[in-house]
Parts: sequence; C-alpha cells; structure tokens
Amino acid sequence: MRQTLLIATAIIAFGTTALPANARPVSYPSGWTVMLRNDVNMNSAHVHYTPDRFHSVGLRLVYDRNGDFVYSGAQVNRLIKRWNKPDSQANIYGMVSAGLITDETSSPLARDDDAGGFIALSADWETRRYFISASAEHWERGRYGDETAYHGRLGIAPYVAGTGALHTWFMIEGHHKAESNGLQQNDKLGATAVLRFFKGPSLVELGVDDQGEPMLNYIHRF
Amino acid sequence: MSIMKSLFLATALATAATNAPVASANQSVEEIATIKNTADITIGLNGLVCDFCSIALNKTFKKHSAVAATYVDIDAKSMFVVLKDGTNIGDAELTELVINAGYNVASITRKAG
Repeated sequence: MRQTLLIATAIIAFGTTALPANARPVSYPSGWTVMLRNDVNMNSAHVHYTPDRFHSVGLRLVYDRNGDFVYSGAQVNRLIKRWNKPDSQANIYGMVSAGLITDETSSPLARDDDAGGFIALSADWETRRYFISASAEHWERGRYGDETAYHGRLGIAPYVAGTGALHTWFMIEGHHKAESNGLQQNDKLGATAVLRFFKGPSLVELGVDDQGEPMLNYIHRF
Repeated sequence: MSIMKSLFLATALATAATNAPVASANQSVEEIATIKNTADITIGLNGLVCDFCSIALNKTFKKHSAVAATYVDIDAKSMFVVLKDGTNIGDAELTELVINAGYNVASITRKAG
C-alpha cells in the first residue's frame, strides 16, 4: 500500500499520468459520455455521467489482451484545473478506479478473481489547429500484475473547421509501458499514427501502430 | 499498408468536404441565420476550440426557462442567445451558465432597444 501511494504521488508529481489518450473525461453537467478504445493491448469501455463541471462518475470495463483478463470497476474523474484562453484551452484531469479482475482463460489453471484499480493523471492543451496531451496511469492488479503506462500525443488539424463541420486531425501517439511484475512483460515503447474525425457529438479515431496493428476509438456525448 | 492507404484516403475525402457553411447537428443554415440576426444577447467566449464545446454550451443554456434558441459560432468565438418574449437573464447569471458549461465569458453584448 505504501508503495502504491509512493508511485501515485510520483506519477502526479511528474504531471503526466493517464488514461488511453482520450481527452476530456469530464463533460458538461448532466451529460453522459461513452468512450471506447480498442488496440493491440486492450478493449476498453468507459461510460460516465457528469453531475457537475468538475467531476464525472461511471463504469469502466477493460479486456487486457496480453494477460487475457477482464477488469470491471467504478471510476471517478476530476477536472483539476482548466485554462480557457481566447484561442486555446488546457486541462489537467485526475482519474481513479477500483474494481474486480476476472481471468478469461478457460484453463483449469485459471487464476482466482482479484481486486484491482488504477490512478491516473492527464493533461492536454489545444487550439483549433494544434493538440498536445500527456498522460500516465498506474494499475494495481494483485496476482494479475501491476503496470505503469505513459501516453503522449501531438496533433495538427489540416484545416480549421467551424461549428457543425467535420473536424479532422492528424495525430501521433507515443506510448510506453513499464516492465510488469506479473505479466512477464518487458518495457514496451511504441507509436501509433492516428486520424481523428469528429462531428457534432461523435468522435472516431482510426490508427495503426508501428507494428502494423490497428486502433479504433469512439467517443459519443449525450 | 492497406490500413495506411485507407487512412490517407479518408483524410483526403474529409478535407475536401469542408469549409462551406455547415448546419450544426440539429439546426439548418436558415435557423442559424435567424438566431444570429435576432439574438438578444451575444456572448464572447474564451476556451472555445471544438464542437464538443458548442454542444456543452447549447445544452446548458437550453435548460434555462428564459432561453428560446442558441447558436455557438466557433469562428466568431461567440454564442448567440434568443430569449423568450418578456424574459431576461442578467450578466451574472449568464456568466454562471457559461462557467458551468466549462468556459469563460470575454464579453456580453445585448441587442439595442
């Protein structure tokens, strides 16, 4: 526990934790949001409700494709700080989740369920032309192995879209997963080229990583 | 490589389809023009960078009983608000609504007369 607190503190002090690079985990008051991320490492779904402008609460489901297990938990997101400028916006978010991990392997050697959770911090800055984000997250997963991951993104819009138009972004995402103590996983460093489209309440991201593996993300605000 | 090719094709199509006046998700070009021409209040905004911003502002304002219609113009960094007949919203309340939606007020201009 002491180690967890130290790691969490280090991550926050570092200023770059996070969730899989989907910015804006807090919406407007009374808004619902669905966030889906699918890549070579995981399939993740996060549904959240925003009761006030600083918080959202919801459920998180993650299927870890490397470890073949499912995490299901409750998640709270907090907008720690926002800067609204005439031509830009910047945000810092904190996220925490706690839940249960279940083995998906059909082998008789399948592991028992275990408690798990994560703490994360993310920051972003964007104009209508440029986008930068960084995030880090630390997972505590008991017998399923702890893990710390970092993501960063740079984006540029090929054109500046107005209200109601299709918004398009070229993005490059860098990601680093530190060595896991439970998955016999070495440090992994990689990059993903991402095309982001959004129009109205829907956002779609198509990507391909440096190993040729696809990524598909979707966000919808209600 | 086929994935990369598809990504570039999709981008080219998307890029080609922009920059014309566009209706927002639930408003026609005519409705938008009417709202902008008849707006009782025009609010200059800070932090307006995308369509998610305009959705947050529209949904927040439309819950107010005095609001008849709204339109957020990202290019103009402004929100146009049409009030119901005989109603008004003070500057302090407008500012609070904008802050609740997640943004900041740069200016408030009211229709003369």
